Amino acid sequence: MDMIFRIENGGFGYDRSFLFRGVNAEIGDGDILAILGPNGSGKTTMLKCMVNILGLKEGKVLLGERDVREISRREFSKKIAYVPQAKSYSFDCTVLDMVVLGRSPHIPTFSEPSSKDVEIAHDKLDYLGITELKDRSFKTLSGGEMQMVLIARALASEPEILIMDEPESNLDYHNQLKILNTIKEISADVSCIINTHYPEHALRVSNKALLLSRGGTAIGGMTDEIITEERIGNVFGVNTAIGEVEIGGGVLRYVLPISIR
Amino acid sequence: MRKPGPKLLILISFLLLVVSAAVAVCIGTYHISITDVFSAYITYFQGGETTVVESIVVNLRTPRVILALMAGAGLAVAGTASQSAFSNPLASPDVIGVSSGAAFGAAAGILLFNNDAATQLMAVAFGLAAIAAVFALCKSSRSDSILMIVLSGIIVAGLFSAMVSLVKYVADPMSKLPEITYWLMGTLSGASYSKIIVALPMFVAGMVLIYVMKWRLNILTLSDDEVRALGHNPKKVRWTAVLASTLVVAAVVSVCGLIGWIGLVIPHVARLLVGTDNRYVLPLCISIGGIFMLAMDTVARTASVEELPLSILTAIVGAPLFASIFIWRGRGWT
Repeated sequence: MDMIFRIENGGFGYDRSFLFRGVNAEIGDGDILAILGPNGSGKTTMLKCMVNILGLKEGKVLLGERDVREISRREFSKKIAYVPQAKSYSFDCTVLDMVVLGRSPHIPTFSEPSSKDVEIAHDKLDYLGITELKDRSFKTLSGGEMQMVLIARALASEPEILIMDEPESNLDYHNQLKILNTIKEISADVSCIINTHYPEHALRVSNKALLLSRGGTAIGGMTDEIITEERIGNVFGVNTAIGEVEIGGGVLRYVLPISIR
Repeated sequence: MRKPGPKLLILISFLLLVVSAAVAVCIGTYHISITDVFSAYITYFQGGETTVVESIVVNLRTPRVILALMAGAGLAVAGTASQSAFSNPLASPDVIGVSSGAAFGAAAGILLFNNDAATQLMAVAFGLAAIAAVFALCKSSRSDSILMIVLSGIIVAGLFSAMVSLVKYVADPMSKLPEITYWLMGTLSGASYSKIIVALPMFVAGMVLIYVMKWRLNILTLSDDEVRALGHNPKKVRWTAVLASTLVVAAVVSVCGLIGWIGLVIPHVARLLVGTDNRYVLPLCISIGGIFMLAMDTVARTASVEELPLSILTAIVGAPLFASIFIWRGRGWT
């Protein structure tokens, strides 16, 4: 896969105002793009524009050289998978059935999943190491398990790009790390875009970052250059100290909040 | 969650359906043995002289059994489709005003014409008019969220109910009013092949549409954004399901009058047995809905000298059944 996915001069807003404007970002092979910004800066809206649920007011989203608005929903959803923030569901189903739903872009309108589709769903559960959940009822899962299942469902469509809305929000300390590690592993095969509230998480997994501010401006680039004490201070109004720890040959960085500006 | 062997359960339920249908043809004020039933069919199709017994079997009980199966299966399937389309286990086709529309059509038909076919066509026409009104309301409010569809449905249903009351108010209390009232409580007593044939095209179209999209109905229970991310237009799928249930319900109501509870309760019974996957729930709704309706109608026509209105029976059985389902499910109820 050499699919480049990019947003060019993207702008969106309701009525005459803009929520964000002039946004540029691009991801390709193996990239992880983290989108950060305060509440109300349009992070989720940005993702919805990227997955063509909302249409940009300005600029365009390109998959390869094609404007996503010219691609049929079904074809698009074979290439781009989206994991929205975990919702509550009115009907329950088994984990396996939930993951099989991810095959639907590949299943003709009046057909039903074949054994091959079920097999692919099994593969994805196996790949994420959650095969033992397959017969569980989705509603009885913990938040962390649910998120893993939703990721498996997204992967079942065999996408080239996986877009996740705050995948690690509302999870405990252990599960946050587990999801982040999973994203890192997935990125070997599928490029990922995530929204996150945590600059530290962006530093941990992403190589690219997009920082939205409430004024509607956005700065994008390599994570190392974007996530700085100065920018975090400006955008979130929080003074931080960013430091490093050397562990087993690698370097991990942390973001310590100091005070509110 | 999924109980072992949903396919086996479905098979067994269909065998039971065949047995119940056969039994229902035998039972009645005039009891007929199963061998006589078969010989009646044979004589009839050989075109020989028909006796009274043969006429009862072929011209009275058989169409009535067919109609009971259609009504039970149709209302249960349309109920399942609505519950998925509105992502709400309490939804039924009544929510969007189809039944009220059809009821007004039939009541007006009884009032204005003295003709079964005209009444039936009026019921169908106003059932479809109700859904068209709901669609138009959603269009002009430029929103078709589930909430908007349901609100429009409540408006349309309310309006048609008032018009039904108006028709009853002006109807002749000696002749037309009892007929309208009786029809509003549901009955299969007027069953005939000609009525079935009028209702059949719409019924079959709706049923086939729901049946082929039964797996897609599972997707509709997700949020709209998820449905879009999975490559579907949620509005299109939802309206297709709604329209298909409307066709089925309007077809059934036009022949049988208003029959409550089946569309709500039978899908829950089916889910209790095979889980929420509509690929299993729908076939099971056909068989259980059919069996339930057959049982109710058989009681309705044999329990007393006068026929009992169906909605009374379906409520007397359906309400406690529904209550026991949610006591049984307890914590798992959503």
